[in-house]
Amino acid sequence: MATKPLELRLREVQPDRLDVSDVLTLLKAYRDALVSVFPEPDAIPSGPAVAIVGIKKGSSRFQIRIAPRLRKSMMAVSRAIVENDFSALPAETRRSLKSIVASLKSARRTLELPAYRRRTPILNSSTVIVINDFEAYSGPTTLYGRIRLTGGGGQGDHGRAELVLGDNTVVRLVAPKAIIKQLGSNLYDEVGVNGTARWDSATNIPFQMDVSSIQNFPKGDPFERLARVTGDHWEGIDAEKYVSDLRSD
Amino acid sequence: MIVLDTGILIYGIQGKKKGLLNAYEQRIVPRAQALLSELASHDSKILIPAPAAWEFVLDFPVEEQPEIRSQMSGFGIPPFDQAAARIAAEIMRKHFDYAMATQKGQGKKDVKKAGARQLLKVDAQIVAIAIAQGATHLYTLETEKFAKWADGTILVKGLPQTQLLLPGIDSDAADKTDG
Repeated sequence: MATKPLELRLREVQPDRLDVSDVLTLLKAYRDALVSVFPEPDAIPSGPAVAIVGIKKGSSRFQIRIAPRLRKSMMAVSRAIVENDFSALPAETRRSLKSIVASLKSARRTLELPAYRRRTPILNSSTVIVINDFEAYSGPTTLYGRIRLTGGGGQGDHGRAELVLGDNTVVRLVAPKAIIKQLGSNLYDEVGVNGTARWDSATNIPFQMDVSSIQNFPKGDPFERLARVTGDHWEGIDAEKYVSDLRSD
Repeated sequence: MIVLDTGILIYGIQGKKKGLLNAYEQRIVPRAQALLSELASHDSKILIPAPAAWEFVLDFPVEEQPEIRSQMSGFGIPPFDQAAARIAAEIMRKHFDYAMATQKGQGKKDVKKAGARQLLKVDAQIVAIAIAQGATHLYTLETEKFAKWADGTILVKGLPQTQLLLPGIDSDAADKTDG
């Protein structure tokens, strides 16, 4: 057993409003996720894989100990969540993590897992985890959101970044280094990102995008710009009637 | 991200009006200006779904459209993509009862016709694009229907109701034109 207790922390939930079955699902699913990362043909488990060593009074913080043989698995799971890239995890692990996501029930309720390189892995109901390829579909689009975490984790001539949509959905971006550089200069800005996205079939939430280009919003008031070229075109026009006429058969 | 429907975009343009106002404008411009202030308070970029952008541009002569489109680059124009198409299909099926309700007393054939109305198609596309983009707010003149269709995923808002009047405008006169 590792000596220092780790923590699973449920946020945005009152302990007395927490259903025990959800806690059970969550802890069991985490244990299953860790056990399934690396096959253990000759493993003779001694003691629990994940043990609860304490629950902080009046909170939803579970102090746990993870068997040493699963430390590597724990890091792999935490890393996948931090990097929002579950593709390296076995299907069984992704299935277990997906059941955690389902048990969280709302995007506000989050589960914090043991850190990976000082970054806290966070799951909520908006976390998209695709188990099989047929659960996702892809196509061209433009997505709009804020850019964060550019530059890291890329392979070869491609790099990675993240696009955070208005509802806090995090979309993993993969792009040529030249575009990643452009994204880097737009860190935390709102931009449009063109490319081929992948969506979860069940929820229609995007989780990945191969980026081909980005769109910056020009500075200034967009209404002012448009009003300048439209001149007096819309003067005295009843907008409600205009739209209603257009949309009627 | 904030999404605007066509009518709201037009009101936004009308909200920029500074000169003499006719009776209609006396009523609408202060509300449009209040809307612009409200939008500015979000400190967020504005998206015009492609079908709404199309409705806005098509009122201009073809030769003027390239310039109008070019100046719309201050807004994001999200497309009706695969995700939006799937969401729109779900909305249409789930709320088919709405089409029935609008065709009270008419036969099944008319209900089918109501389901295919251009009105429902464009409206569903706009709501679906807003949902697919993970937008937080959708401003429209169709608040009741859009809110029902968005089903809590987005905050649906209309043109602000306001008593704010421009200097020099008689409030009684403005109230009379409101009704």
